[in-house]
Amino acid sequence: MRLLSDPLPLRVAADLPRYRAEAAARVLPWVYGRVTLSPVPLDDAGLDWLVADHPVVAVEAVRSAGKALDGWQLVQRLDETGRAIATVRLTRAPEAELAVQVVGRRDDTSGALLEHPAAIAADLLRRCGWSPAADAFQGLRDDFPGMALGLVFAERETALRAAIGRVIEPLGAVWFADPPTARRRALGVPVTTLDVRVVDQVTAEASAGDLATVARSAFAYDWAANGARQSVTVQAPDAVREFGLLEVEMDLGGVRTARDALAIAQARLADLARPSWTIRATVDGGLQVERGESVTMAHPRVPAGAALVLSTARDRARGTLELVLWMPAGAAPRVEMTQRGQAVDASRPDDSVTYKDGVATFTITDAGGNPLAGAAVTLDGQETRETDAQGRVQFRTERGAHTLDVYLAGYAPFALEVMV
Amino acid sequence: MRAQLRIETVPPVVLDVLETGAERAALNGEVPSVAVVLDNARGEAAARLAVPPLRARAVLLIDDVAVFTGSVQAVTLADVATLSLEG
Repeated sequence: MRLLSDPLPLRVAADLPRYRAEAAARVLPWVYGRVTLSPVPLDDAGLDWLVADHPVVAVEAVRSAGKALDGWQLVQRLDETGRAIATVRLTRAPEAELAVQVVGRRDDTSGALLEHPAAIAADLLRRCGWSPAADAFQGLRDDFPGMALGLVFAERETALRAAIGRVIEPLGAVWFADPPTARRRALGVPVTTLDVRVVDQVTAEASAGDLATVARSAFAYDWAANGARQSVTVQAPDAVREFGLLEVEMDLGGVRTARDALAIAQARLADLARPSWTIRATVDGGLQVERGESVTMAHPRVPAGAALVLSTARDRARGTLELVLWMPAGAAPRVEMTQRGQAVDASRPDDSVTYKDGVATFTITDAGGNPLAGAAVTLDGQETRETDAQGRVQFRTERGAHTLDVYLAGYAPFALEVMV
Repeated sequence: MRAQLRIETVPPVVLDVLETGAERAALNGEVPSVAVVLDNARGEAAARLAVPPLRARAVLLIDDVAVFTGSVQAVTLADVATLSLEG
């Protein structure tokens, strides 16, 4: 069984008997959920490409230079070492870099796609020799029902702890591995009271450096393009007035939908946009308190109220228990979305940009892909036109990078970064 | 000598100061700073600073004369309360 500090047992191409020489150091990826990634070449002819170092549910599309290819086949087979791998076999070599849309690993027992964070985290433990129970990380299923992530693990020295952290922590959740437990970082029902009878020493710290009032969250990461394809920006207006514009970046790369990204960003910013205390308390060693539980602080030296136990350190020799706790101060602020952004590439034929005779046609859609009719679209902050019934709008413009600002009643304004 | 800290919240809060640290300043734009220590033996500071006045403007007064103006960057509560002010 691997330790949390041990790296994931990822292989590189050179671990295979047959691989393309210049790809020797490429890590053979583990794939969860629906992702787009750059496959690993296995032959010099450019016909055989590895998409995952395990069987996958499906490959949905293969693209080269943004154009969908027809002549390909998903081949799931055993490699020469006897390990199951997923490859794509092309009928002819691509002329440019490949990008493959993959539906990743399935559960060994149920056959279901592993895309919920609880399922992904438990599978990572399983791949490292642990035996998590069927209800491992159940708190995530309760707090984030229906959540679907898309993640690729393709960095060789990723520790198991860091890998699970990549799955769980962006959600604004807290976790521990033994037994596998996780839930949203939030106060619960206090299990005990920390007062002068049980507290030996206590301090509390609050720092302005921990505050943030605006969060830009990038999500829907594209591993082939090496960047997030969408973003959402949220703001706590009252906190902006009180503390100023304090921006923070939230990496939600594995989150796939705008709905999930917005919900996570709002919840996380609500915690960051108000002061909070970090409390360190040395208490009677007989007290039974676990990480993740909530307690009531009732010691005169520090603020009173509910606090979440972040960590425990039991000193058996001294008979003490050291706790680190988090206590938000004041009411949770209102958080609202201020902007949505989406990266669009005109070189991708199934995307929403076409260019002909100096005229660019953009199709504006919502997160579900439905065309937005009657939206006011401004090109590069200069010219504004309205979309038609199919969500289309045209501008005469030069090729290159442009920005579209989109306004439509009922939607938060959002910006599209487009390449024409 | 009487030292007080006036924190410009709404409404303003005026607290008696036990002691102040050195007023730090340096060349090349380093932000001047000072640590202000308040009594917290009976939890007075903990009660008044339960919502820490982070980034609020604060003025250190010695005998009613302003000697340092800054914003509250950090608050630490223990036997005493320490507020870090940056100019």
